[in-house]
Amino acid sequence: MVRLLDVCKVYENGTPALSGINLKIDDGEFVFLVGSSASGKSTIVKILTSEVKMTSGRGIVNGFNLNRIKPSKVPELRRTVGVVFQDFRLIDKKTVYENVAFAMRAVGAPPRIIKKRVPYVLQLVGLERKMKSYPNELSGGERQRVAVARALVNNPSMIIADEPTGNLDPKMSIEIMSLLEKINELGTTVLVVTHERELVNEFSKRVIAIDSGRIISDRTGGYYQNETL
Amino acid sequence: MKLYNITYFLREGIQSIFSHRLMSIAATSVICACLLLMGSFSLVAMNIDKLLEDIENKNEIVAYVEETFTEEAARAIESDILEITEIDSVEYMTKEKALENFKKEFGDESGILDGLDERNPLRDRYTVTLRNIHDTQKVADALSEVDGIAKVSARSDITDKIIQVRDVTTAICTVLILILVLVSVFIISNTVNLTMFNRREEIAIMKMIGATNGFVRIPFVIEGLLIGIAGASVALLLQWGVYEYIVASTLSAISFIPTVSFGSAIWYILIMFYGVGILVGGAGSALTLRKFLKV
Ligand SMILES: Nc1ncnc2c1ncn2[C@@H]1O[C@H](COP(=O)(O)OP(=O)(O)OP(=O)(O)O)[C@@H](O)[C@H]1O
Ligand SMILES: [Mg+2]
Repeated sequence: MVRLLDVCKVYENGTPALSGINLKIDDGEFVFLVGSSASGKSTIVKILTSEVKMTSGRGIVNGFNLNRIKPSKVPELRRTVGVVFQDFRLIDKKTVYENVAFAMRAVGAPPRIIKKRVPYVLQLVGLERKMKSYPNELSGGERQRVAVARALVNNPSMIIADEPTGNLDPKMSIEIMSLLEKINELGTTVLVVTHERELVNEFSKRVIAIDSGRIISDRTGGYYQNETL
Repeated sequence: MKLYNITYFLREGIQSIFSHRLMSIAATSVICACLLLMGSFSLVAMNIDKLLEDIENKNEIVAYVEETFTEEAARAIESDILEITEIDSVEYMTKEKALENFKKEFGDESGILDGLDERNPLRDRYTVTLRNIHDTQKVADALSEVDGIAKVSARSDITDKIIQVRDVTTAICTVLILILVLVSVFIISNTVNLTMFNRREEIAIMKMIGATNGFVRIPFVIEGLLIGIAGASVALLLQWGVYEYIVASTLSAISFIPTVSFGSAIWYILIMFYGVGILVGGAGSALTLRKFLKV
């Protein structure tokens, strides 16, 4: 669940990234956030995970008030939001299994639970045969799926995927999207950030378009149109 | 903290120590050197104290009575002497008794003292013991003021020298130890810093996933603590070996110098080494952690 009200962000060096963003995402939704490079998409993601503070405006994520959240509560907020990063951010020294298990350990899950949950999630993303591989032994799509598995493993109520298909070919991209769609059907809210028009148009979902830090359209079942960019 | 977390943290901490061995060895060595200095100083101080105590026990001032005094007159001085407040006890000894003691001390070779009995060169004397060795000079001065005392012999010069040496050593060692403690904290902090730098990606990921600062921090604190403990252990063994060697080879040859056995100092050394090692290790890592956790 996300509520942003009149959110503005000006970075410390004076770069304006967002101005007057109003955004409402309910539990269980599947939403695309689209826009060209430097339009402010990642900035929105970072505000949602409290990685950066908004300059003005108000926001709530999964019941956490972004304006008032104490630093000690930020880990709790982040456990409700699974983020899939554009550059995967896997740990190269750890196996696929370890990379995912590590995320569970980081939030204090007991090993007994980890042993059950990690294989289940890896199977969900179709990587049960690659558990013992290292990230550099995987294809881009496989790595992306490890990243999805890691975002998923702690049972967040929302998954945010920032450019999850950035380095993938179209077929792989559709596969990843289908995976996210499946996760959404299992009850998790999904927010996909992308600038790939063709991909968005493959699915009939809610599309929020952003340009120069402003929301310029928000249509359900709509298309990501060229002229809006 | 749960058990499965402890094993995880320990594993992570040990892993990072081995991932940059040179740095860890440097940090361990510096702590070790610091502790060795502390330990050596403490042992020297303990030995000096023991020596002082020994002298203190024997610390008698002998006050010789004027030869012109009769025994009766000599005994009368005692009340004057007792007025000196720093005195613990006073014992009067006739010159005959003194000669007897003197002969006893020479034992087999007492023959050379034969014939002294008719013309005893010794004087009647008072043997005075003190409450506090520091008052030696003061009491000696006071005694020589007493009417009828011809001469006072005190060992104040030796004890003063020893105390002076101990005080100077204390000052120098305190400064050195402080410097070394700071250097140790600095080096440990750098070692942990290196680990954190090597693992900054991992740390950032952990933070993004929702790990608490505490969880991220513990392996690094453990790394610092382990380095501290390793330094303390090496220092303890070295200290023991070196001390026993020095005592066996040199000090014991000079038999009249009493020595402290390592065994009797071991608890003191043990607690000091591990206490300081752990403190320095903890402080070193705590210093570094803050800046990496701001994600
Ligand atoms: N840490 C930062 N400090 C200063 N300016 C920043 C920072 N991060 C982003 N910006 C600026 O804010 C604006 C929006 O950046 P943002 O990363 O949100 O874009 P984006 O839509 O995610 O772009 P892309 O599609 O290329 O990832 C850009 O002009 C960028 O240069
Ligand atoms: Mg971006």
